[in-house]
Amino acid sequence: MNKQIFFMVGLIGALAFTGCRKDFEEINSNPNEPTAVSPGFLLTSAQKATMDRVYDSFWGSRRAMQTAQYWSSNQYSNESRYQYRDDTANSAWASFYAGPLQDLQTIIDLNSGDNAADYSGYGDNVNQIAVCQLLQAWTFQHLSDAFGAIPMSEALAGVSNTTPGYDSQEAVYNGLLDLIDGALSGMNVSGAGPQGDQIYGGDMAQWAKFGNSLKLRVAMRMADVNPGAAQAAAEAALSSGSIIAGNEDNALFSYLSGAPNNNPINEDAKTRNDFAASNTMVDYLASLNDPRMGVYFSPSVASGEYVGETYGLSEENAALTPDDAVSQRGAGILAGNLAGIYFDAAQTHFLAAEAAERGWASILSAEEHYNAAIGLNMNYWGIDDQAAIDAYLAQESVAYSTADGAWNEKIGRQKWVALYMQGYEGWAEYRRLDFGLLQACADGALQGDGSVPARFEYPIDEQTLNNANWSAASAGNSWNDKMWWDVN
Amino acid sequence: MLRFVFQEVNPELSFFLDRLHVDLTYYTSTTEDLIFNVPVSATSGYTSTVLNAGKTENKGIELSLSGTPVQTENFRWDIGLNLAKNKNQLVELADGVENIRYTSLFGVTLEARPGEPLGTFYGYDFLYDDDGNKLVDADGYYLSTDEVVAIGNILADMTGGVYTDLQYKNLSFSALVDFQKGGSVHSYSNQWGKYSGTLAETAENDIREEGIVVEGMVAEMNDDGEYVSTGVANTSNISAQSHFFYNQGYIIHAADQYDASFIKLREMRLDYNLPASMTSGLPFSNISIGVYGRNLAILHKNVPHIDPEVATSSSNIQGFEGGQLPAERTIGFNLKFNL
Repeated sequence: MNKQIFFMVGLIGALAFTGCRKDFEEINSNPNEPTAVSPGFLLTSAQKATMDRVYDSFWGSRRAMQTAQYWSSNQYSNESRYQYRDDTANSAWASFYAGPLQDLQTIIDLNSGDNAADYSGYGDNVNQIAVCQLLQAWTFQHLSDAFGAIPMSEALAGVSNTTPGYDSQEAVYNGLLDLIDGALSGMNVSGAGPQGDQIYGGDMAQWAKFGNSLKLRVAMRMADVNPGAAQAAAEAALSSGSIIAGNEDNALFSYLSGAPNNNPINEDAKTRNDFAASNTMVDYLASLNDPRMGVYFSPSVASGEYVGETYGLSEENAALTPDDAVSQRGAGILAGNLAGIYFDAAQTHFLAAEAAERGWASILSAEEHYNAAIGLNMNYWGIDDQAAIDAYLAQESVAYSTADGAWNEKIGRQKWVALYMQGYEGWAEYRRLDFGLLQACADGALQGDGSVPARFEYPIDEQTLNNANWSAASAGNSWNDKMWWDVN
Repeated sequence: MLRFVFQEVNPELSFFLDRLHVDLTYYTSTTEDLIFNVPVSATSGYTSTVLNAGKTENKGIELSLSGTPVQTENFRWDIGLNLAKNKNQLVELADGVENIRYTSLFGVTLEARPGEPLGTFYGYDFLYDDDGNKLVDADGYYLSTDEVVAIGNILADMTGGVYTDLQYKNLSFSALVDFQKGGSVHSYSNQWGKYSGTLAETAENDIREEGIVVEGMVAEMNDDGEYVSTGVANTSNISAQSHFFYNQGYIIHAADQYDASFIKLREMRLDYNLPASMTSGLPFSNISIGVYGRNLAILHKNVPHIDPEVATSSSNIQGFEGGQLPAERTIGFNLKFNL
């Protein structure tokens, strides 16, 4: 009996003391769903997510690689005739803004808030901020060159502004220069770089080169519309002594051979083959005896020759061409470890060549930079035989002194060849440098006036979710309305 | 916190020695502070936020009639009808929220916008002239709106059913027919079936060999940038493949938006109770045998190839049909007895 009473008292006591716990919040927090994340993970994720989208089969392959006429369609050819799927713009737009751009903003906010010191273990606060600003600038330029005006100054403010206004493309470009300058002046090159950096492993000296090179690209793109500001920014970058000059400096995202960290093109090609070499690209490379042909494409199985598929075929006509009859993408292009390119040395030299042609203070002559750019690009694609490169450069159709056309055409054509696998850059430089080469769709364009689109239409999502700002920005935004920077 | 106000007027009447019952309900209800996961422009850095947003109003009538027209010693016939009509409207959303998107699929969105019922589809529609003819461009393709417009709503205008029950001595028979009038469904089975050429109509009338001239009036753009009919009927022939791509729901979403009305024979059953005299020697009592069938037939519908009812669900996200499994028809046999 006594034992039982003792037990009852004990039980009541136990219940009474556990009834109101002070650690209520703690036991109701799920340790498997953390609400905070280390900046290093965010940075890795942002770098990968950006490249995953750029090389994605819809945003990258169907839209950019075809619009720049590097590839043609085997089937579902509508994008190659400028009929772009609405969903692609929706998902790319959402994934850039609510993905990497927001992740980078979170890192910036963590490192500039009241608790910034808590995060200095992941790299100097200023360096984490600088790297994120440079990557944001890269992505905003990517988006603006596709759409024109975009939300930038009011974007990424979370619930405090769910309908950000659009900045004009001019405001975006001025903002890009500010963002890059802020990063370059804010970073501490001798300090610790950010953890989780898959591009340069936290080497801030390399990030300074990236910043100056990106600044050069941004400046050059606005050279025709705002030459004063463009020249000042470009000369500052070229004279900085810190620029992506050799392939060892390239800003690359290294994919691995196997899923899930392989290049999205490789993953897509495992289950389908919607693309082939375009005749625009193949015919031009063939006319120059370009040694990159064998890297970019594989010979046609049927003939053993390099044969491009006609660009811009209707679905019916594209379906009539057997895969074996045309050149497919090269084995290295379809490999899992094909790198994602943020910036490469060939671009720097093409930009420097252009600066020299514009009479700006560059580093070497236009011709020297032009030759360096081509050589570096050959090296990048694994062509190291200097004699072969020299022979290529000596051809009348390639040599800077004898190639056809004005400087914008000479540089533009070779730059287009070198920008293979950077579809958006190839398309942007086509619009800006007006070097020709790209042809009308064989079976006619399905949107616009038949010329290569000057921009993409905004995602439908913005019509419904950000209507007032979308409508203000989209007035005068149709396929053939030129970019702000495209005045020639 | 979700708040709910409900008002009801409910006269219930019986006539003729309880042989006829009428039950009429008129109600209005207002629901406020709905809890929504509200999609926002991704340019904010996030794709959605959770809000107490808005106020909806439901007004409706429910009518139920039931009666026993015939009742004798051996025979009884019961019949009943019920009808429900509900009008839903989203009165307002939270400040600064113009609309709530439930979902989006292949360019078609399902949204809640003030002034419209909950669950309205938005997408590109055909362009029409004042007489209701579709407008066609100079190449023979249908023209579509520049911006997305409302192209349908998931909610039915009216639902209801009729049941009947006949009993003659130990034999009983019952049947139930129900219906829905209105409501809308977006059918991806039809859309992709036409796109990929797997549906019968993509091969009928020699359309693959001869192409098609679609019905509509040729339009040209006026000085205001609007398409207006030239008054000339379209004569341009386009290929079947082009037709089933450009003129269908992937490009012009309204093309695969269908009326979800239906009339269905939902259930029939026939039962026979064995008379006590036949079972007196057995260890069982109250033995009945019967056959029944459910989902027996769709008597009427306005959408080809699919059952419009399968796209409904209890969540906000409904009205999209794609590769559905048809509802099962069940036919069974019953044997009941008491020990």
